[in-house]
Amino acid sequence: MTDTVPAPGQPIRIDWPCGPWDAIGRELSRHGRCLLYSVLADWPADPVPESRRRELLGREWTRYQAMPHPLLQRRFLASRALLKRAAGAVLGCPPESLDLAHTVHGRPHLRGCDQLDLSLSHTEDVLMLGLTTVGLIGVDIERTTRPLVSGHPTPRFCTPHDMELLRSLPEDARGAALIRLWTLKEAYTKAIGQGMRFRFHQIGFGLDSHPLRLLRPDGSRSSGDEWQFVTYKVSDRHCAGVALYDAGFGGQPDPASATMLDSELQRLLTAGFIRRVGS
Amino acid sequence: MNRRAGARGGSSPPVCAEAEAERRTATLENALGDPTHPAHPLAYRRIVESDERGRLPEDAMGILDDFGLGAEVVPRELGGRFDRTDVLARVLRPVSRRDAALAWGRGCGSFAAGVHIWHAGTAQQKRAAADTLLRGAHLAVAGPAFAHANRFTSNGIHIDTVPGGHGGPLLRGHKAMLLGAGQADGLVVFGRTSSSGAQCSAVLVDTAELSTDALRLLPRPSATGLRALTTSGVEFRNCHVPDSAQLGEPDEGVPLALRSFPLTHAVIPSIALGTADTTLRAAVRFALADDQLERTGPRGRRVRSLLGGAFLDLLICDCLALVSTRAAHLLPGQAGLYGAAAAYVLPRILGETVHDLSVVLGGRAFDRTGVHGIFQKNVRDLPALGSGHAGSAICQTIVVTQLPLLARHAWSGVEEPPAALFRPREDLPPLQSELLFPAGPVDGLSAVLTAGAEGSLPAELRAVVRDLANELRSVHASCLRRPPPAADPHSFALCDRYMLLLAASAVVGVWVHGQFGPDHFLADPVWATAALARIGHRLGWPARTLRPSHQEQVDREVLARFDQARSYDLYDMALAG
Repeated sequence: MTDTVPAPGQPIRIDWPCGPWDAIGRELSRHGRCLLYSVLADWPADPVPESRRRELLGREWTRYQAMPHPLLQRRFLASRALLKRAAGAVLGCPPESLDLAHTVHGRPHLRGCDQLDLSLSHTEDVLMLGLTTVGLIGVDIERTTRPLVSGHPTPRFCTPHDMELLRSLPEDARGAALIRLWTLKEAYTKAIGQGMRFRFHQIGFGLDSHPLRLLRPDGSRSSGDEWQFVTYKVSDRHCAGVALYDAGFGGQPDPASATMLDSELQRLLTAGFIRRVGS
Repeated sequence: MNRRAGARGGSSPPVCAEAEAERRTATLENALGDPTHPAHPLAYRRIVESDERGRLPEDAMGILDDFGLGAEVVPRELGGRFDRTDVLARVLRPVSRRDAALAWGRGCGSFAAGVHIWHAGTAQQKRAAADTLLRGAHLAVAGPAFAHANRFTSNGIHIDTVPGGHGGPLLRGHKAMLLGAGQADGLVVFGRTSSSGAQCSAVLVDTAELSTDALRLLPRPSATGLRALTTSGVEFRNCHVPDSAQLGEPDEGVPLALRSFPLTHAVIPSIALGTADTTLRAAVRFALADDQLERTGPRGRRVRSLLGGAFLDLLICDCLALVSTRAAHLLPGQAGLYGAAAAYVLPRILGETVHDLSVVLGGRAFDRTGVHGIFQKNVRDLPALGSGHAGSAICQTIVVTQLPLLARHAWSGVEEPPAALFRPREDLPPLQSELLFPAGPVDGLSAVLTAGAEGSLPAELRAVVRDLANELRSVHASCLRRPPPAADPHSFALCDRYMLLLAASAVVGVWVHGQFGPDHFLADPVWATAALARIGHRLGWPARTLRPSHQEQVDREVLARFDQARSYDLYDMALAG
């Protein structure tokens, strides 16, 4: 268990297999979203016994088997174990019962359980998972010293306004600002299921504004109140960006799978006496 | 069942015929005018401006009243024009192409309320509701809340009969969000009956007859989609209504709602396709203006592929919408099943599609002014039409409950449905609402997949249909292995796969029965093969890249329909702009 109690809304560190898993539902009910991270180096060598892996991975078992390197397999397995254990804690079901599926463009989702949206990210040995009950979520985690950060912004993924913002900063602050921008762009494009197919140089963020807003290339405000953006420091070495879309339905106070089927509807459907009504 | 449905189709007189359906739809489309023309009353820029103010576009009302839109949801025997569910959805698409909120506020909402009255109302209630709609006023419905209700669907209203009181139903409590409440003259209100736990009753109330103490409009909540309709919720405070307000039998509210689902679940998602059409059209317009389609190389190919993929998604959705609306006439015992599939699958696919298209607009996807501003509005409005997870949970309840029975009885040796189910322009027998069934253990639609896998389809199409038929067998085997319906993610995933397979079956049926039709694009197997591969991808198959010549064929059709202002659906109708 982590000995640090995170502030509300902050990413929660998950130690495998201890958790804290019960904190996830509380975070979701308070904030409509929950951010988790876990450090792979702290995971046991064999987090999921071989006999249980196929059941846990389900239809992703073939993909797992085809991975060419044990390190890739380990990270893949850990990401699915974390995701399904966390989602299972929210939905009140065994992790193995969840089917992780993908949209045409590869966005992951839990098949048949649309009360909970999710997004996964990893960098080096840190896994990050975002969960929400209010709409869509995208997360991205990067090492703050990732090599792309040379202190020189590049037009390939910066808007003219981003470039202006970065140039206005002291040189030693540009790297961290650029990483924040990158994680926010990744988070947004993952939330809408596009990833890097979306042209990063077409969206920017005003990093000094509160709340953060998605901006047009010229720096004018673009997104409305339905989108929230935030970045966090994770451990001392990483930065996480989060994009959250509120679809306007007010969240799901009780996301449990066991309560999803309406008992009265079920009773009527199985009793078969609907035919009598009005006839 | 199928034999009987086929016999009804052959012996009953047709209702609204194709010529009339086409004329009504074209009349409304032309009356609403070219939405890209900035000076037009219903120009996209004006619609977006109205949405920013949380208002319906005022200039639209006169046009819709002149057309008599209210009559479209009133049964023909009551003086209206409603006698076909597919035609209702088709006629309302020109409205939803302009503004989803307008389509709900001036059509869908009244239909969703009215269908309960047509099913269970007294002669007086039917007459009063019909007169309300025929004079251009509107109805709204506070539906019953089911499991996993959300802000749109939750309902804290109670309806009781108080001994020694006025004798009639007493309404108390509130519903925080009621789409269109502020504009409605009549409300269909469902409420829990305190004495009976899970049961509820329904009443029809005339808002003009209630004092502002008895019925209060609640303050406007913030909203992401359909902003113009979320002006208020409602609160009833010791609101006595006469006995004559009772709709159906007391405590029979849930069965009434369940009986209305086959119609509302089919028609409302089908109308949403008009909004999706405009979203694709906005992306094509932007891509052309931005010279994205002229480019050679990966970027140009990617944009063309995105637009083509979105068009295929719209066709997949329209095939399922077509089947679910026409099944109400041809296969009323199965209509509830296909309606649930449409109401579950369409919001999911269309939600993905609009986000895919945002790649084309890039940073301009959030524009709130000008001709491109309609894109962000539709991205927000489309999910609201589907009620989110609360809407899915109802559809899943209907289908999951039937899965074991379907596996035992419905997926082997079942006769294929009649060809008319898949032909958008073919006549239909009258709607017999007393035969509608919310979900039964019969499914002729998926027999189309099995038959297609064994039949003489073109080779590439047959290959993908065979794979889908194998998926159906896999779902079948899983359902047989499992005990009766369980509220667990395994059942929900099976249900999701099955509903995607129903969409695939609808695509196969539309191609098989349209291959000799007049539409050259739809007669060719390319679109159906590509559409089925996209469904397969959603089922977990590896991505199948379209052959370049096939991709070009789809791309050409997307651009041709844009250039010639033709709709991105199975009707391929001429648009005003």
